[in-house]
Amino acid sequence: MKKTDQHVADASFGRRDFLKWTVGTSVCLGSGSFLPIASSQAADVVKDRPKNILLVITDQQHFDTIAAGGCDHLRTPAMDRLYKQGTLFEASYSTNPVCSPARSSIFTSRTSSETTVYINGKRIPEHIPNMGQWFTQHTKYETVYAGKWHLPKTYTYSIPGFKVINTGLSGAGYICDPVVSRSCEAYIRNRPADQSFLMVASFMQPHDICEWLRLNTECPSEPRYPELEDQLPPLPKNFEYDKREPEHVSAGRLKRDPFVGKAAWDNQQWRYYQWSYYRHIEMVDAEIGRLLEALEETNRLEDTLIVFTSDHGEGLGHHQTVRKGTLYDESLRVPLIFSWPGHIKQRYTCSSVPVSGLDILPTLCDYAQIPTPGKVRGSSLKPVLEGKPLERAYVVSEVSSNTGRMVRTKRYKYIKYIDDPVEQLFDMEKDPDEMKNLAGNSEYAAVIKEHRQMLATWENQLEVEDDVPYAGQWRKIV
Amino acid sequence: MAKEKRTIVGSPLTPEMLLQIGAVSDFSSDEKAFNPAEEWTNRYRIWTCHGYRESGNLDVGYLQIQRNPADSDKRFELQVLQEVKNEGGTLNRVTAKIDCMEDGLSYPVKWSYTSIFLNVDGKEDKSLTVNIQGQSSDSEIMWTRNGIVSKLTCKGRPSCDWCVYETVQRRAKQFFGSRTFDMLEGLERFKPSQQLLDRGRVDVELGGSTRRLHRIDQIGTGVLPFEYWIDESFRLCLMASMNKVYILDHQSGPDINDGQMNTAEIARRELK
Repeated sequence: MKKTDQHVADASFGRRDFLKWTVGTSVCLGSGSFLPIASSQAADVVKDRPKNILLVITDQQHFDTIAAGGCDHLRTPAMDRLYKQGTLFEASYSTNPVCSPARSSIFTSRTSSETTVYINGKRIPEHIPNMGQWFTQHTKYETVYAGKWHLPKTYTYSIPGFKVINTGLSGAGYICDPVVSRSCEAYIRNRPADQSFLMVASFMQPHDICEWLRLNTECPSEPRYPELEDQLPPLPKNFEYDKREPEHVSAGRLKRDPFVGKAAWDNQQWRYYQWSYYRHIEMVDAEIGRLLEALEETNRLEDTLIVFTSDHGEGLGHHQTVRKGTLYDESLRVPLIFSWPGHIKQRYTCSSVPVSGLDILPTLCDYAQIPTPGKVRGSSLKPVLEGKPLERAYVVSEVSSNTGRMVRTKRYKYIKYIDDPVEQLFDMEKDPDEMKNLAGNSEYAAVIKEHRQMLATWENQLEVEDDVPYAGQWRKIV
Repeated sequence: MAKEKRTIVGSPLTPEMLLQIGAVSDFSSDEKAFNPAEEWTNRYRIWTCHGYRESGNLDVGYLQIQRNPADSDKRFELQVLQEVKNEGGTLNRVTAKIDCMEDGLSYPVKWSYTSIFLNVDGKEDKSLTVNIQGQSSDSEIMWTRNGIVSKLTCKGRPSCDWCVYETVQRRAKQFFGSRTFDMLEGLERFKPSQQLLDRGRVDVELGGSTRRLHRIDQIGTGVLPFEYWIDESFRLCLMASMNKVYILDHQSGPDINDGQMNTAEIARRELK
């Protein structure tokens, strides 16, 4: 994503500043207790609260897929509009680059190892409240949900704390997303103006790229649509990559679609895959546009806090990966935009504060002027959205089956997989494409040590059930 | 429980591939008298594929398009009924009446459109109903949704997906090369810079016999390439866009004026 105007200075941090960061805003009350604890943010004097809240979640959206943000390969008028009227977090990370785990964190502000949703298809434990339950308990917003849930069922009419207005259809975003947006649009248009809502519009696209991949594994001898030749995007800069990778990444790559066909893809097919992915983004953009129009035409745009994000990213050819499941940025970084005209800085890109899906629920609680649930691991981003500094040194992400961790500071990114001697360290200022692994370079020994310590600090404040894979090993990671 | 063995399809959903994986049995409409410029009704199963041969392939809805003949203004009417099922047994039903120009790409001039949601008992959830009236000119599209008016400036009159389904049948009578247009998908979502590409007649091997179908492709913003397959009688018998497939099936769904789709019927049609 290209940088845009920055109207205020971001908070900047030295490598040792992480010690200043107090994690989250909650107080542990002991095992199993989640009584509300007033957060410092919630205690602030806040002028207004949004009449409505709309959380838009896409599925598997690469961070650099918004035309107004600098992506030249697609047309995204709805996302452009959000980008222009809101604040984008450039260093926004999924808590886990797989659907269910990432979603469990967005809705609870707990890590996926804590929610026990460390792989797809697991359920959030009853003692951890989700966003819908929390807002139902503490606010007068009607909490409504449409589309993909995946905790554990992908599509269901039974989501704790939410009234489900439309489920969607499993694994068919191309067909069900227009139905999901239609239901959301209708709800907005028909709801009396004086009745508040918190709506989650959870779209399937661009996840259908997984279906596309299974229908295009084999590399054709001739392009099926030769007219596209001059429209195909160039290969990403990091298509060729540093081969000193953990086994988890190199072995996982070979299990994925382009490598299991009768013939490996040629560059043309890789570029056609990129072109096709951008069309998936355009599809979901059109559905988001329908929601924005409904808000605007019912005079709700000025009264609605909109949050736009994705559960995780998409390989899109970077490091010759497709889909997700790695800790490289293409898989882990996601768009994150907050928009509320007149209340949130517009056309602003926050580039230096790392944030994650853990921060969404605390931020919404802050705007709604309610406490956060106990033991949340994120914190409110409201200060940044209002042009104030936020002190934070790092975020941590996990990976499927609890096998890996990523620590992202302002300057570096450190990656560690369990039982794997190969670590990765990237200088994200000099090497944002993650092309050169510095972990084996003795000059960076102190940096590695420091990041390991951050990870240990992080892990030791989590409450992870013993039956979560590798729970004990992560507690002793230093 | 042992994990079900699944085989990746591996290549796009062509007529041959759809036959191989059991989505269709034939592409014949068996109606030599079909005239795309007159009155007709086409019924399609909406079918989707998760990319595996053995599982996840299912009918998810139904589309019916009825063409009523041109009046003195050289316009004709398209009536549309589309039903898509949701997980849990509810349905979204869209009905539309579109006044179309007979030339060009059947440009929609004026239309009415209703989207409703039906619960498992077949009852309408009125809180989710939207009624829309629309009209378009060479420079503007105007909608009235639940009584609220909005406008969009455009350069040239757009077509819409359902109108394209009508157009390709008439266009297939004579090779046209290519044609560009802007599209209002579902009469609402503006997707510019579409291109129709005439591939001419293609011999398709279907279960030991050869059928000659006419293929027209559509590429453009906001859609994955559409392939329109038209049979010898100029009836559109198949549309495929990645994993979204419309299969001509006159046994599918209710009559356009008869009422709602039978959800049990759709569920029963899940393919092995």
